[in-house]
Amino acid sequence: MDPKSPEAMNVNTPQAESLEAVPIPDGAVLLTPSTARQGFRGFALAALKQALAERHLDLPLGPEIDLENPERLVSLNRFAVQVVTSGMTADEISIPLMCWYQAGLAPQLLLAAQVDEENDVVWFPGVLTGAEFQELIPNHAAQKQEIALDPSQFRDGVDRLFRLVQLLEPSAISRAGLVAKPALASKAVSSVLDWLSGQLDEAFTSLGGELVPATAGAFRGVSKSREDALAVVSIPLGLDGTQLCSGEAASSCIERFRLLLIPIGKEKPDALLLRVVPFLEGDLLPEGLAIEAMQGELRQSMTVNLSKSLELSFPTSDQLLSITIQFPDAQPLHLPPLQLPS
Amino acid sequence: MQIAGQIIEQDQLIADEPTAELDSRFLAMSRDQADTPEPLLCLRCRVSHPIAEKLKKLLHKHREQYELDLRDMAACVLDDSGELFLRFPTRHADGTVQTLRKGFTWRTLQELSEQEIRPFGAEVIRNFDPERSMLSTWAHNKVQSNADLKAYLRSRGLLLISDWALLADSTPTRVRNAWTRCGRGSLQLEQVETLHYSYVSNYWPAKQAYRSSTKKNSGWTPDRQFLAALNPAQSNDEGLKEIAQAIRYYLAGSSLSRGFVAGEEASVVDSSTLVSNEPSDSEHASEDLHQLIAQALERSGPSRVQSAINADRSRWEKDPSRELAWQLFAQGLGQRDIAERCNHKQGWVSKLLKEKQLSESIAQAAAVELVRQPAFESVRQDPDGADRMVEALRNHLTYPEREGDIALLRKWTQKALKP
Repeated sequence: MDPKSPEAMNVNTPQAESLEAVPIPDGAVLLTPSTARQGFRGFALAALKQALAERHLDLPLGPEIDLENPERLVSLNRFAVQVVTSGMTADEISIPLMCWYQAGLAPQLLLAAQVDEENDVVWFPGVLTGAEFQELIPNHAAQKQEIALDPSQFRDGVDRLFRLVQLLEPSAISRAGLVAKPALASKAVSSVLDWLSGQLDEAFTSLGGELVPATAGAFRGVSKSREDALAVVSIPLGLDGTQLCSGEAASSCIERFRLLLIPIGKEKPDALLLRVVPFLEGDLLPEGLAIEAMQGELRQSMTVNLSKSLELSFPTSDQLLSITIQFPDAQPLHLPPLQLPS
Repeated sequence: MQIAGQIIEQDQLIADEPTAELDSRFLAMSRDQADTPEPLLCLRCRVSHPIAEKLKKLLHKHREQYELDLRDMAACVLDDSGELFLRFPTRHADGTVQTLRKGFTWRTLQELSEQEIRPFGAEVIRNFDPERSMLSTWAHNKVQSNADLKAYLRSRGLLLISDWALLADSTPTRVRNAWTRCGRGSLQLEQVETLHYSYVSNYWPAKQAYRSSTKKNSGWTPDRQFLAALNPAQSNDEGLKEIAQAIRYYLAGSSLSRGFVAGEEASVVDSSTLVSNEPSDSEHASEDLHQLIAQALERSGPSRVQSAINADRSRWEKDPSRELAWQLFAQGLGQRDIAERCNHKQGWVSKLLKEKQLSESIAQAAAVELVRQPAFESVRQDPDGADRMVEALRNHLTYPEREGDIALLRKWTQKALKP
């Protein structure tokens, strides 16, 4: 860059003070230096785990796999949390909005983290609920990819996150998002291991799926003994004419049934049972209804033929398991890919 | 020092102020007489000045609030005692250790690996690139990124942020304001904006590549290739340093520089709101609720206070002021007074007592219990209500109900301190 003549030089009088070092904010998390940590999100999640441990809070944190993926929401005690990050001295935090356009899958809470990678320090300025976030951003329907907020707009540090996820019911904060669009089919992989710690991925909850007590699942006719069922995920399904429905929409269907996903084993799963059962015990399932699942080369399917249930079983594997529910002339229902690691 | 002085006099290298030209002559002498320690010694003396200056600046700025010791800081970066020889302990196969002595010369310095270079001043000199900046600036940068000093300051509650991270963290708006108000140098505002934009675009990929190759998260500095790739291309880092300096001046008065807020100065929420918000206004119902709250706090509080004190107790023998601080807190003194009585800074007291974290943890545990009661179950659907409830409980813990009383948290501390 060419030096300018003295007349053109910027000649502000030097200030008495310059920022030589930055005071560590009260409540910041001081991490043990580690070369394994990478990227702001890696630091933020490590700090979140440390903050939980320091407070002796044993809250389920997931997902079990792919936690480091910045596009994934974090699940803390059944709340969907978007972790947004910046450098320690940043004056803005950028918030990717993609997940906010997925009605029913939008984050419930936004946790801001400011990271100093060089000193292994993370400061959580605070939290915004979905509703608070929407109040802060004007013209949010403009389909922006991201938006920036001043870190001071987040409230009360990481303790507010722990307050809200412990005191509130998950239903207290909507997941409606910014635009009422139909839920997008999730390509994110879900891990069966998360279910064992009481966490159900948002892709499953958006289908109306819920974790029911394993003993209740066993009571409804799981072929193995009740001690073997480590968890049971139940997804309500129905037929609206010839259309397959799930979740809330299924509740108004005349033909109603459930898909049960049951990891079985002694302490950790050694197989996953897929079971389609009628809503009312003893009923027949709709004729032609089929379930198909693939795990690498292994493909299994079953179709209703005066059946009261359909059942498939898959072993643990490094391969992902894809499950599809089909009905003649209906759009097939694809479940998010599942991982059942050995 | 004497030897260095003699050389300076002998070669007529005396000047009132350090200049780039003088630095270059010292450097050339050290290189030209690569097997003679004396010219390098002159350069080592020269480099110790900006290092000391930087430490004094840090001390001056932060000693009022933070417990900084110049000797401890100097041990990290001002560890050159002026030796003419370097000693290397070598372990032989039979287990014996022999110390090898080598002249502290330019040649020896070039032969050392990064890990072996000591003192710190020698590291500054070894990596010095006169094309990229002046020696003083170079030394300042190196101090700013020194791992030992950073660790020391972190333990005292301060973060040394490098210019490179500061530039990457700053938005165009901050850069514009900083340059307009505090910028000094040859760059015009438009040039500053272009250069900063280009810096940020190139910084993240360069940092990622550095992390992949070194497995380190800290220590990145722009190399010549990076500088040349900027728009406009830079031959040295002076332009970027000028922008960073403007940001540092600009931020000096901001909230970023003000530091910790003591927990006890948190905003006050009236604890009675916990009860008065309830639909029932009968005195009897209100008393029941007060009792529920008191019981929930009693179940969550004393054990947590006891744990916090027990966790610290092992350090009391070595540092009796820690015990005194707890005792004074139990008696009702504020953090400022405790700091004064313990001969420490207020930051030390805040870090020791963690009053805010402790009261929040107790309040949260009590609130979790309370929201299971029908009287408070509406809170489970009300984010604002959840905030208000915890704030009110915290307030109840940290402020006495009546003047002259002592707050609950301090009462439990008194109890926990009893033998």
